[in-house]
Amino acid sequence: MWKLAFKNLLRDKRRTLLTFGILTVAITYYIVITGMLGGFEKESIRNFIALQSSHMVIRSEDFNEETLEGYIETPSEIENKLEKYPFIKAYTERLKIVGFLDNGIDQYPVVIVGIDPERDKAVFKTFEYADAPLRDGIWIGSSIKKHFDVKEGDYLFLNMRGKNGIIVSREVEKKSILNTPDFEINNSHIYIDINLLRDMGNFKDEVTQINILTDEFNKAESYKNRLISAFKKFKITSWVDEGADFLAISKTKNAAQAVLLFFIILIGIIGTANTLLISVFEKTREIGTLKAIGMTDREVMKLFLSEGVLIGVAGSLSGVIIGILINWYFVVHGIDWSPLLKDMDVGYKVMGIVKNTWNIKSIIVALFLGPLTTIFASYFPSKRAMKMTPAECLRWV
Amino acid sequence: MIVIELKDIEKIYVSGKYRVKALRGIDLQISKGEFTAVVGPSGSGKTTLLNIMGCIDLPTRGSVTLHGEELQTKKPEELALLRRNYFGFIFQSFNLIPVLTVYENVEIALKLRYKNLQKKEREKRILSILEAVGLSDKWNMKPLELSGGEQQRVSIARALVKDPEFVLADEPTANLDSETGKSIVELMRKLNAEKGVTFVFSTHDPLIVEHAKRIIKLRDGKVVGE
Repeated sequence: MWKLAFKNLLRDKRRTLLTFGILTVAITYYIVITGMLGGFEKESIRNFIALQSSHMVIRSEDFNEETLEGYIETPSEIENKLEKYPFIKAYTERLKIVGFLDNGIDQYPVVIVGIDPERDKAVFKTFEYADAPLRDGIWIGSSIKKHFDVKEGDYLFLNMRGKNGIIVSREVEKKSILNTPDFEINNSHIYIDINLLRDMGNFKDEVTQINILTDEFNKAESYKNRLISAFKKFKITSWVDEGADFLAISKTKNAAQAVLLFFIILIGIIGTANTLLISVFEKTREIGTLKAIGMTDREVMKLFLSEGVLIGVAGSLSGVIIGILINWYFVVHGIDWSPLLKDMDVGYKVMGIVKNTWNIKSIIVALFLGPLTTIFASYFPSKRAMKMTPAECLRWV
Repeated sequence: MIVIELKDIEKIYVSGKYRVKALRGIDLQISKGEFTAVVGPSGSGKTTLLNIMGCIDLPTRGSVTLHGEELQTKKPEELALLRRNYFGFIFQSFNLIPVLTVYENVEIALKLRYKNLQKKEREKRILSILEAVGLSDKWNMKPLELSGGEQQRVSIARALVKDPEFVLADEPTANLDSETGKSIVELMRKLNAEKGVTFVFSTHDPLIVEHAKRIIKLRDGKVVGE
């Protein structure tokens, strides 16, 4: 049975090669794309943590996410307590205020983030994306720079409402550009030394938040629960809470990709079913002969399903091997997405080179995908062959 | 001893609006060890009659019995098993599987009949039947590498390798030259005489008919004489 199925596949090499090729391409695509999406996801989370959320955030209980108001008055009290927790590797203070930039002609709304440059480095990697140290200047997001067409020596005015409600303004000259993988930061964030910001807004020790780096980001949820019981008067969130919206969007994207993959598999099924159907038509008289010499309908069906299984296994194996090789290259070297992501927000917090990841589940799925696809695809042509009587098959022209 | 009995057999083919009566009330009995020719012009119903005798097709009306067992009530799987166990078929256009070698074409029929036969025993039987039909030196060739007469010999070997009780041959010499055709009929007669296999074959070749022990004449789907 298997021998005949194998020889049948070799009979029309071009057709077999076409089906095999469709399957191989579909499965290779599946493995590489899932690896690529995994890479985007992993890099996005890594960048989100490194640039925006850290592992955990402590805020005042009355903190308002929209106005960014609600301050921790004495952060040192909290920080003293944080020292007791061995899983906390570093922490830093940030003061965030809503404001706007203007150049005398145009205004642009921004989030002003006051940071302690040295302590911030221990928790965030923002500094890696700035073209100069912060010192007494500011970092402005690359899109803001583009908006104002800022050049060397140009002045900008930073405006905001101070602690007592009075609008204050400061002229800033030293501007370094911050070009991060986070479109939101590039588009709306300005970084300034926290002491300068406090002076400007008449703040004392107040901060909006204390950002914490732990020894393991995956344990942030359990660490958060431990801190919640110790800091009952504060709002404590993990990076999972902070990135809830971004993670939800990411899941939606994965669902959209699943739909895309479904269509690719569907094309594979249709391609395979089509070639097997033609094969059944062409072999109708032979099916009649086999039935005449005593092959049962079920055995005829098995024969065609065996052809499907053989081509499916071959297509799957080659697709998996090629997929693994291509994915391996991208895992090691990555893909430079700069030209594509330069000025476009694709919803992922990535820039430059993104390395693929290994998705073992998708490789295992791919191994079964080929044979299952072809079994499914060959079922209907086989059923047709099965239903015909031997006399009908023998009369077939 | 009657082994196949046909009573009032009618076969109608329906193709869209058209209905073609291929057989019109045939009554026939085939006994063990017969060497029978079914003769008649094209379209007289010879192939249909052989197909019904060999469980390849079922009649529209009437009854067919094999060893006293009614065939109409059998399921397709049961009919396939009857064909596998009792019948060998020889077709006008040989109907060999082109991707298989001579050996494999014969082997497939043997494997279906005796699933648990040892490889050595299988080999022995196949080579022996190929020798009987004069093809022992061509066992590894593909059908398309053989002449028409040789292909028909493979077809005969495939039909006989499983020791069937009946061999039904549909115009086995129609695609062969007269000399080759004669040698094929001689071979069939030899196997009939030596092994006691019941042969029923259709033909309209008078040279072949003269070798038959019994001749059934068909015209317009009816038996018009013996």
